[in-house]
Order: sequence, then C-alpha cells, then structure tokens
Amino acid sequence: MDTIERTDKKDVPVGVWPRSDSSRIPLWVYSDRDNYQRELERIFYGPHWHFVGIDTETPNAGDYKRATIGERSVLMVRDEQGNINVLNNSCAHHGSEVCQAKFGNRTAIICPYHQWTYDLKGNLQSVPFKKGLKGVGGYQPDFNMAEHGLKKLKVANVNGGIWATYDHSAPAFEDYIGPMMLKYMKRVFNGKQLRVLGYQRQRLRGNWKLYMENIKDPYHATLLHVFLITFGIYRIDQKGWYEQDDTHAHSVFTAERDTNVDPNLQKEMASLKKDYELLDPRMVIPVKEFPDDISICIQTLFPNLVVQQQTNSLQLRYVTPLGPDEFELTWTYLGYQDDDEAMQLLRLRQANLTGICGYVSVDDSEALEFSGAGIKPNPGGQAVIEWGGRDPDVPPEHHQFTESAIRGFYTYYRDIMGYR
Amino acid sequence: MSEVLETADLKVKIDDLYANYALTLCDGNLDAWPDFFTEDCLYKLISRANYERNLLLAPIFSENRGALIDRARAVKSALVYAPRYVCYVVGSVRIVGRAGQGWDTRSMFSAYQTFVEGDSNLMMCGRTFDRVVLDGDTAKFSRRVVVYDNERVPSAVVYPL
Repeated sequence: MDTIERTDKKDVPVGVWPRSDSSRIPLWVYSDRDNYQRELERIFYGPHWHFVGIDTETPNAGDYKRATIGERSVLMVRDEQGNINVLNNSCAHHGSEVCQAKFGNRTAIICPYHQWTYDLKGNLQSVPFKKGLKGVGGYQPDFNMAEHGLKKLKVANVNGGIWATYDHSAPAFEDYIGPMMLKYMKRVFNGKQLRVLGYQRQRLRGNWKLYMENIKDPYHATLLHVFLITFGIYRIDQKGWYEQDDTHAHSVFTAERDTNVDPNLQKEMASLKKDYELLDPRMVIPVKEFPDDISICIQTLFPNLVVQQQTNSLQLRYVTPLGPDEFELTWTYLGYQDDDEAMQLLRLRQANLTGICGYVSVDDSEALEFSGAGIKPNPGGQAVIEWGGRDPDVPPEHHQFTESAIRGFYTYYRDIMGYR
Repeated sequence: MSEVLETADLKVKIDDLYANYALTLCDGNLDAWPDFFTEDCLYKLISRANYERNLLLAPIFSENRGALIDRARAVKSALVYAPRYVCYVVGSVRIVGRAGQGWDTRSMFSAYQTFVEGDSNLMMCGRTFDRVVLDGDTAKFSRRVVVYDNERVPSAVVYPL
C-alpha cells in the first residue's frame, strides 16, 4: 500500500471542544499549529478525496500538470494507455521535487538532481551508475527498483473531474460524497467534455476552514453582497433548497433567480440597493442553460472544494492551506468543449462577479481577512454558531435561515479529529 | 511637421497618457479613471499564466467604457474591503507598431498596496499590451490588457490597474 508515514507522532487532540454540540467553535482551531499539523495528516493526507484537475488539461500521453494537496505538490500525468495517474512530486531517492513546470509533456519523469527516471505511472525505470563503474561502487545487488517508485495516489475520474487521495483505504469517491451530493455535482460534471477557461489564484490571510464556512453560510450571503442580492442572484428569501449528506461533511445551497424582495425582509438587508443600475448589465443577465431554474448552486465537498454554478458561470474553488494562518484559493473556470462563441463570451463576462476582483467575491476575500485578523490574537475565544438552532441537521423545510451547514462541517470535523 | 517631429510629438502624448494614468491610480481618483479610455474600449486584467496558455479568462473583462464606470462605481459604493493605498509605477513605455487609426503600445509596471498596518507590499507586477488612439490632442486607450506575473495575488484586487 502506498501510504505516507504520518508525522504527527504526538497524535493527541490539542484542546477540548467547549460544548457537546457544534454550536460553538473554539477559535484555536483556526490558529493552533499542532492542530494544523493534525489536520494535514488526518484530513489532507488521510482518507479524504481532493480535487486535482480536469482530464482535458492533460489530453495526450505524457501531458502533466502540477497540483497541490495540503502542502504537498502532486503531478497529474496521462500515461500511454490514456489513464491519468496522480503521483507525489518528491523523488524516491532524496525527496527533491521531480517536476517544477506547471504544465508540460514528457515521455518519462526524470528528477533533475540525480536523474532517477520514472515512467508515466511513477515506476522507477533507471538510475544512473546503477552498478558504479568497472565493477566498483553503485547500488548493492539487492537494490530493488520496484520498491523505489514515486508514491502513487488513489485516483477517481468522475465525468472528467480528477480526484485523488493519499490513503488507498479511502472509500470510493462516489461513496465518499454519497448519491445526493453526486447528483448536484453532476450539474456541472454532466458528462460533456469540459474545457478550462482559465485560472485565478489568491493568497488570503486566514485559516483554510474559514473559506469553507463562508460558502456554507447563507447568513452573510444575504447581508454582505450588494451584487448578489440587488441583482437577484442569491437572496435568502428566494425559492431554494439546502441539503447535506448523511455525514454532514458536504452540503449544497440552491436558489432561483428572483428580483422581487419580500418587503418584510428588505429592512433587514441594508446592502440591498434597489435603484442600483449598471451601464453594461450583460454580466448579470442570465441565459437559460439548465433544465431547472436554479440560478445559483453552490456545493462544498469536504474538505476543501467548492463546485459552483452561478447563472452560466461554472467554477471550482480549491483551498490549499499555507500554515494555520493563511491559505491559497485557486479558481478554475469551466465551460464545455461544445460551447459556441456566444456561450463562452457569456461565461467570460459573468466571471467578473467572482474571483480575485469579483463584484461578489471581493467582499468574501476581505471578510475572510477580517476574520483571520480578529481570530489570530484571540485563540481563547469562541464562535457562536446558533443561528437556526444548535443541531447540525438540515431543517425539515430545507430553509436557509440557519448556520446548520457550518455546525455539520464541525460535527464531521470533530469526529475525524478526535474532538468529542 | 516632419515625420521625425510628428513621432516625437506622439511619443510625448503617449508618455503623458501613461504618466497621468499612473498618477490618477496613485491618487485613488477612480472617478477620473474611465476618462483615459475610448467609448468602445476593451479592458482586461489577466494573469500571465492564462495569457500565455491562450486561456481567455480574465479577472476583469470590460467591453466598453460604461463597464469601467460600473467598476469604479462599485468600488466606491458597493464592495466591502479594507481601506488601502495603491502605488502604481510604470516604465518602459514603447510604441511597438501602427494599428489602424492608432498605435500598439506596451509598458512595464509594478503596483504596491499599503494597508492600515503601514507596510507597503507588492500587489502585482507585469506588463501591459495596449492600443492608443488620439482623441483631438489627447491620447486615450482603446485597448488595455494588463498581464500580471504574480499569479497568486495577495488578498483581493479591489482597484483596477
């Protein structure tokens, strides 16, 4: 089995959860370094699946792409048989990164340092001076090449989305997210060939979990974002649906576009600007693409991926931790290979709403940094997550006036991290 | 006017455009920012990684001056963000070719952000690939493509460059 040794030798919980339910979050989970190390081992290198890429990013044999899981670099490589392999980007000889380019094509993976050479599946093929020279030096006769390949991750390909986990004992990807989450994920990963329109990346000063909470939080969404609520893209009073899987690890929110605001709610939403108009409103004008009328479908898959359809803009947001106090957010914008020019233009236009300069997303990026700054010096504090009750379950009416998706995340998190 | 003088005069107008543009960004004068563009301009802010792979996705993609006014207005009245200064430094402005009624130009830049802590840090650095036309006596951008190298940008990019 291709697992990597754990490094959290202490392997003890670093604190006690303040309540038996998950309506409180101790603020040290966002800053404690031992807790962070435990997250890397248990979550990022444990039996959880991570998004790596899209199959059309590496269409030909030998095509590769660098990706990241936790703090580790991995390579997504297509082999001669057409299969996609995901390999730990660290030479079996002395640990060097074997590949530094972001994308490329190779017939073999050669570590630049001592030129250990691997095939596209990660098997060690050759090492220089294996028998030394003229009968002296080199490797001992019992040196077994088969034992020194690149670490191989377990891989899943779901309609062109490539997923990987370091833990080969992890459940199958489809079982990991469950049938209901798979159904929502397949709105975007619908079997049509995907096309990557581009990437955006940003570094945010806060703990990685805060981003996942942000996406699970309809409370802020209807208050903070002028553009979401003013143009009817998402408002908490819209017709919509909220779901979690049985483990509470994953969740999804949907809403149908509607600019008619319930007058009773209007006074609660100070950011609603009814007279706000755009000189070029094309980025907020939807075109019907899906069989239903869902204008926003935003799904979080534990631990660190967001799958979002916002009108005709399709995005993946992937969270990479950079220590306890910082993370990277990588945006991958998608379309389909068979999109016509008009649809592609629409997706490019609507992308103005999200990402590093997005009319909606700037608010979140900034709020995340406000959280990071306020939390870091206050590890003894607690977050009060009681909106909509104290349990982690989806309300029977599936309404969205609740923080239960955040409580669900921490119910699962506590279980796998050992915080009973 | 001789061709030499005409070219020198044009270079002065284009240098003025870039210098005034940079000062306007540094002053935080967002209201004046769209005035550097023609009505049917194209503005893009795009990472070098996307640009070099011919990926069209741009964090800012505006197809006319109205969209730039929309952005300036949103930054002033709709977005939530921490106050900051932006220092935009431009150099190596060059005319690289004739293009219809205008000229293709390019430049290099670095932009710094300063937050409440008081430290200035790199926000973006890169190159611009532009097209300039004369509107009367004034040079304006009919196209501006800002290509930034530092793909992983710090925090959010609030102000356009």
